[in-house]
Amino acid sequence: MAKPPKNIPVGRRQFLKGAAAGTAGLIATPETAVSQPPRRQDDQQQQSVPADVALRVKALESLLVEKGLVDAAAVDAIVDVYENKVGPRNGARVVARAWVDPAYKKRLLTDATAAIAELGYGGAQGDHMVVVENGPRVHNVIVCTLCSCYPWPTLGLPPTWYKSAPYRSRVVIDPRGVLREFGLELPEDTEIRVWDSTAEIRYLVLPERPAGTERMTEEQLAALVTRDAMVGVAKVRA
Amino acid sequence: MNGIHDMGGMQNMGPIVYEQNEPTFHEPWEGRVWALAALPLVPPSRRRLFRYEHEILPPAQYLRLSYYARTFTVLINHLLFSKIVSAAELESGRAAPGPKATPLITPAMVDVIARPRTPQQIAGSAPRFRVGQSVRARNMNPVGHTRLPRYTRGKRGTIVRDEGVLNFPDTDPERELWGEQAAPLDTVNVSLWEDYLERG
Repeated sequence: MAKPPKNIPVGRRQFLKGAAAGTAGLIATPETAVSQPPRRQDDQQQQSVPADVALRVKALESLLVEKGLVDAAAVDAIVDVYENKVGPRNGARVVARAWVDPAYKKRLLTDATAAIAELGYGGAQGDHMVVVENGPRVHNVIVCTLCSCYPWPTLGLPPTWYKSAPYRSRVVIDPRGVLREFGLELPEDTEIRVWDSTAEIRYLVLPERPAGTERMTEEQLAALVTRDAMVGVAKVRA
Repeated sequence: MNGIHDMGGMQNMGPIVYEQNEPTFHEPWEGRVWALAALPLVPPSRRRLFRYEHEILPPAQYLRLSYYARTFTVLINHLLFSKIVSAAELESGRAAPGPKATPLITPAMVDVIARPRTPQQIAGSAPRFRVGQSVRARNMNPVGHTRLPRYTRGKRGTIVRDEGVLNFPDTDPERELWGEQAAPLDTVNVSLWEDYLERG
């Protein structure tokens, strides 16, 4: 087994360019079936998009509009929600509030859906929230092994890696190795708790507040909190 | 279904590829697909099959397509199966005359998707298990939709949290009995003595 590779930031173009090569390579090399060849970076980037997909999507939308089923402005409104209204900034506000307000934190850990609604967040994929708290000896990480369940109101739509086969398959069987791939090395005696979003519960990780932030305002704290920390693949750094 | 989607515990899927500052949608069409799939175009009884329709994609196709390309493929099938659009309409791109399947969806109707709402109350019986109790996941292999991942089946665990009463997602009790030939929404109700059953 090769060493866990480092994360590789890829641009979309590179991603698509890798697609064809990856697929062809997989079909053309029979030896992959017998031995474990060294992995190339783009091996798992076999995913592809039909060349004419943008046109086909447009055609479907036009058809639905012509049939009087959909107002195109409703489609605009949904895109706007997911591009601009929900996202990890919402979750970061929840976390920062919990860090500065012990009573709020208690409510958040007892009834997360209601506590998150206090800040105005909720709705689709946020109706049954559970917040899991990290501590010096406990680290939580969330996944959906079966599809791509994710707390949209507080984190927005999931990044590609969260929806990808490598993350979904491996984080339940080798969480420590996966976290190492994200650059997060946890002490041996840290208990890792993986939460698989198999039912309707959506999870949010409450990261540890970093040392040296005692004088920061709630707003400054919120700016430190990342999406990755709230999924549990990173810690918050001061 | 023991499909490719149920990938928890699989190995050899490759490294996790991380994109810095990833946008919500990489291309405008991804956002349009996402939004079209989110619209309440089909009745809830069909809507609940949307996940299953992902799961029955041929495995190679499931892995090959990008996330939103997969959503688009499934959406087309979903709208066809639900008779919202016809194959002829998709082919021609023109609406056939006839009554509308559902009323017009307006921006006001979707304005509420990201706001807190009162949770749906579902009537349920008293819980059969309590926190701290040892349980075993059933070893079952339904061909329909299930949210019991393969890696847990037959395995023991401990109840750590009571999450309340939620709608049971397995769509196909009939298919559990008879396989793919059964209609996905049909049920068979059987009276069984308690001694025939084990804790599920």
